[in-house]
Amino acid sequence: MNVDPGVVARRGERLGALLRATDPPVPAMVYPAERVARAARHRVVVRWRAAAAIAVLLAAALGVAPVRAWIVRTVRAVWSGAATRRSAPVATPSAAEAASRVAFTPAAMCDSPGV
Amino acid sequence: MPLAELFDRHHVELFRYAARFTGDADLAEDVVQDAFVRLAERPPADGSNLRGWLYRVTTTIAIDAMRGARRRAVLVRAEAARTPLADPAPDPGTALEREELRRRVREALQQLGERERAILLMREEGFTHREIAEAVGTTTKSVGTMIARALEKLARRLDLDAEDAR
Repeated sequence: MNVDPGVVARRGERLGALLRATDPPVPAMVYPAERVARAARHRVVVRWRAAAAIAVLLAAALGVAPVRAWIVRTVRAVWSGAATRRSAPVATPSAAEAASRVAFTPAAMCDSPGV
Repeated sequence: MPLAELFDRHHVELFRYAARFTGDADLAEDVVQDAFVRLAERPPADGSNLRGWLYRVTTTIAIDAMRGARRRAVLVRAEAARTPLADPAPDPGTALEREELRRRVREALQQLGERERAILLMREEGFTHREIAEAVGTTTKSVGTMIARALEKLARRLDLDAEDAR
């Protein structure tokens, strides 16, 4: 949509003037302290409930043999993965490997006389 | 910053925005209070643009509140009764004119889509295109296009080009 920016600015100014002329008066608003405090308390309660629900679910799951086996397997896999990452040697070329490396430079061959 | 201080700092502009957005001052008051309760319940992880976050949340709550109000069919309220106490009583002719203008502006804004309305009103509150794009979840380029389009629609309904035509 191509509209002259001047037209947009002018329309914006006129709309602004209309809005200001028709704005309702601002009422004497009071900070909703009690509702805010209740909301904050509710937030803490919800977090505790969520934590408790997770703990109960985990405890209940440990009582079921296949689930317990799966949890043990998963924890072991994660643990061994982390341990492997910690102890894995960093692959660095040895001095002998570095010395025996060969590099070809065809451009140099082409530049030499008689080729 | 404590929430009460944030409320003191932002509630007037948020009320103005919500009242323009919903076209209902009573609803706007509830919306602003709900926005601050939401801030207490679920504060933004990144507090760098709190003002933008407050406008975004206010818009979301306003949209829900308007839908709820529509369902309950209580949206029609006597706006004319909301005259500031400190103002001298306007003469009936002026009051009628002002009320008529208020009705026209409100209806014209309500004809826009929710996103268009939010973008236009946030621009009116001094947000940059980039900030608006972040708040409504679009690109900076489309903000410019949507503003131009929304103003085009309003220009017809509110005679915003009237003086240009003369």
